[in-house]
Amino acid sequence: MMRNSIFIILLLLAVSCTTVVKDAQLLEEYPPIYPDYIGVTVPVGIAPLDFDVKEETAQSVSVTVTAPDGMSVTVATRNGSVRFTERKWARLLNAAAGDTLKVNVSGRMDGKWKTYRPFDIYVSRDEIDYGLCYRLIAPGFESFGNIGIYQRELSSFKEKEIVGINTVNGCINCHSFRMCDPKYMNLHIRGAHGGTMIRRGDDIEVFNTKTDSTISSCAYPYWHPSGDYIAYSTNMTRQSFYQGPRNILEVYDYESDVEIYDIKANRLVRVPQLNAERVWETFPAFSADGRTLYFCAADGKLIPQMLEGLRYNIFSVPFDPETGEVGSRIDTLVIPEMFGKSASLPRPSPDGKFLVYTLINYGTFPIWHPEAELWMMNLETGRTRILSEINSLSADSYHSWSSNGRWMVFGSRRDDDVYTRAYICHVDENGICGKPFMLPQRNPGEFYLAQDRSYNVPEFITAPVNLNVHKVARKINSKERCDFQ
Amino acid sequence: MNSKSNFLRFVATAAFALAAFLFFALLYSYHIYNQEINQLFEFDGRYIIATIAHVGGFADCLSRFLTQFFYFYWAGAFIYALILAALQITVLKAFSVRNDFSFVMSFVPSAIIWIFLLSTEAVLSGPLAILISLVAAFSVARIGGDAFRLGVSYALIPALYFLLGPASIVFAAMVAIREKKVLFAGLYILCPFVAYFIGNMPLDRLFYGLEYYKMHTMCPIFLWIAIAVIVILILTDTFFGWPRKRGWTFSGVVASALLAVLAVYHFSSFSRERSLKYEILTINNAWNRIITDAARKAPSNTIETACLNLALAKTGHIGSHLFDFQQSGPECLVPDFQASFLYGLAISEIYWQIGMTNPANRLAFEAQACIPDFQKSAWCYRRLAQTNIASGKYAVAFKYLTPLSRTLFHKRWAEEQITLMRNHSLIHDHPDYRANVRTRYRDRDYLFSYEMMTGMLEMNYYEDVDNKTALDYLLVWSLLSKDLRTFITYCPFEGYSKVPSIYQEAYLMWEEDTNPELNELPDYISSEIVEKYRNGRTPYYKYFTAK
Repeated sequence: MMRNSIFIILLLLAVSCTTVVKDAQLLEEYPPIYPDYIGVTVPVGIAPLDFDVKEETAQSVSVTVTAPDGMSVTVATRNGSVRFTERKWARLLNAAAGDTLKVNVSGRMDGKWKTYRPFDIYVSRDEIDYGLCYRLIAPGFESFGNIGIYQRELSSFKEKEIVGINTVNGCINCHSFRMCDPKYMNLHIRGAHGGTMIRRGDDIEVFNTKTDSTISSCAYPYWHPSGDYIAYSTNMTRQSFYQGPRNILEVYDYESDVEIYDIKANRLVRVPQLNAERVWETFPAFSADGRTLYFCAADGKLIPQMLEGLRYNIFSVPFDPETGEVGSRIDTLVIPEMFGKSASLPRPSPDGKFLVYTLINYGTFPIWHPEAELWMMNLETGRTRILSEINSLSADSYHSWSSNGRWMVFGSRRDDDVYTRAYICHVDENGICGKPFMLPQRNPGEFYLAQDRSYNVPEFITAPVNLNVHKVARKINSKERCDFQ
Repeated sequence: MNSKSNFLRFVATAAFALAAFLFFALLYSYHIYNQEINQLFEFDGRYIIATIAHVGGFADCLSRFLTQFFYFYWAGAFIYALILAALQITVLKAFSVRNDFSFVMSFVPSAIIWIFLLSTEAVLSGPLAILISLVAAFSVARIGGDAFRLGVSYALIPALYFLLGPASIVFAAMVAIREKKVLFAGLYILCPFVAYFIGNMPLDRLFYGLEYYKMHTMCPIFLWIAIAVIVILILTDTFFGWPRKRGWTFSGVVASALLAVLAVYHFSSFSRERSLKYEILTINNAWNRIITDAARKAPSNTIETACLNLALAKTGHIGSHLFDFQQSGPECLVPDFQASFLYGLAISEIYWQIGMTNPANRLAFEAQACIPDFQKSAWCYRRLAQTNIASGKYAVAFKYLTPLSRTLFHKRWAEEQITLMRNHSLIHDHPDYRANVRTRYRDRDYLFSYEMMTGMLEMNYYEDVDNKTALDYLLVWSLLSKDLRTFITYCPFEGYSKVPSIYQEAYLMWEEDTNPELNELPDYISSEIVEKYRNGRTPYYKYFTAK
């Protein structure tokens, strides 16, 4: 008797949870969903694109996702939060690889069903890397608070702290990998235990990167593809605060240089081409073949008085990985100064065809510039174009390529102008980007509302970062440092 | 034990609790407010799970839950008193022999915890962890079957370590002593190592506690002294026994009480309490209270003076009573940026009140980031929500208002702001926002520079000439900077029905250079002030001529 009652109750519950869309009125508009996944391009191995239907009057919502082979998954919800199981979602993506998923969203409002205009999710066959590594930090100003470097598996929602404020007492930044390989990692720590951790395979060392001949400790690292060099810039950085409604803060340099660290020889290569008098060089990046070094440079100005006239262009110099020598010829690649813009963060694609960079009105630090936009240069033709397919009205900045060059992750403040979120976009062989999608989360509306830290410096990683945290912490928290020569 | 003795013990415990309550309620109430200001407890599953899901998380969560009631200082004092009294009672209950001597000794751990709680860094999780461990220990001791009791004890050691943190050593020690099995202690010592290998936490913190002290990198010394004393008392009770001499209760209690009073006095910081008072009254906009208290005891540092000056400005007295109090420079009006929790929030209030929204936002953000245990502060969230509402950034404001709407005591305020955001036309005339809402229409932008404060205050005033506090700040800043040239450009002081006396004196000082006889003065200069000035008795003259 008892068993039967339980069975009946469960059956009733199951029936009551099933939502059947009947006699629905068709609407012209797309459903109001958060995050905006309408028309995005995703890889096969991406976590479920859960979303919230932002229709307050909807008593219930039904979502059906259909793959080209007819396989479909229907999710019904009363609170508008649409949640897919990882298993079913993976099956849908596999079935739609190279094609599209059709998404039908219906809502029952005032007792009647209404069906929104269906939308597509494009599923690319291009593989994406294992995950992302980013820093979570409050978009604050001077005190860093609860800060940490995290890794996130892209095929699921698993996130894990790599190094956090509980492990290392200081500001943690500048995490960087050699072509997305977590076995080659750079990590910088500021504060009482300041230093730069360089990992090459199992070898982990913490360095003091400030030398007598450099203006500061090394920052903005970029690994050479061989793993034998890291390009850094040394910057005298300050920040000031705006009083207007749109801009909040300006981070700027008083001076900067570019250096190349020869890891094997423990030698910091300083050459006049990258350390010119009254020229401020910054944001170095090696080309995919390792034979060119890109960087930004500007003519020095009186700062902060002439800050709004400080504009950086993009240059390149030849680099010989065999000898570690920097060529003397400096090529000018992009001169945004000519049309009143300033360039930062040049990032060449792994196939060597494209260079993506950020343009802002002036200065060097794009994330605090709402007008920051991503641009792309075709390195074969020399033509540049704005990536309007991925930019937004707010700051779109720090970007990095996946190991195969078919995906790009970047930080964007399009949600609210203050908190940076990670967006991923597909880039085809012609450099055309698909619509970017926000890093998927379970209950994304609730998640991102509660997330009070920014996704800073998102980088792809080809495998989990398996660091022995306690060993790293011991090394960082000790006073022992290897000095850059 | 007779009923008279029982009654005396009850009276002693009650007196101890009452003393604790009165101490915290009357002498240390701003310390209590400060605890509440430093945290945010949300009635939200995600928040509670995140709080519990680490070593000592349950004690931490319970501590945060109780601390939210510190919104009312008397509730905080009551909770402190209750915990201290409960700890004394449970320590006594843990003894197998409860004679006069052991009764007196049972107060010692509570007295040490009292001293521990005097620190602004101390939170309730440590004392709660000890209390729960003691209750668990004597509850387990009542289990009849040996095998079952031992089994429960073994299971509880790692469980309590995870729930309460390393203070659960009290449980492990009690069980080990009572059962005379060192294995319990061994099992306890294993727990931090297991946690170390599973997680990212440093080993030392897994031994001294992750959440017992706001400053994570510091060991809560007094908490561990209390734990050590408890263990020693249990050892004494079990292996050595208590002296049996009678008549200990009265003399022992009196001696202990005197010792405790001296210790509490020694470890209390009443100067910090006074600073906290200024800052907390400022963020609560209790202007008259600040002035009354300052009249009784003058501010002792720049921040306190800045809080007082804001109160004077908000009540319209700054132009006449500024020099009733010691002023040591313009930083007494607007202190320079402070990356600290409470100072930041108080200075943020100054900027907010004079209509400089962005510095108010920045300081609140910094104050939040400076909270040593990385908790969120309801009061920082309130200010951040306000600055973002004023700037028209509703999505960001909503981010801060959502957690506030899940609290017990800030919920109503948060809901009012959400309603306000939905009817933005109301914001412009809202008394809390009137001075700041113009930020969103500012077309000129400039970088903040403390060195250029005069210029910034000028621009701030000209953007809203109806903001009298902004005008006062501009005038007083130039006066405290001894910059009469800037000050005099604001003659004839429009906006004042009667020009404040200090402004009149400053005008006379400027006028005297070209008009030594001070003839044909404007109507707004009173003859009484002129007379005082001629006699060289005006406070501004003294300030101006002082080195």
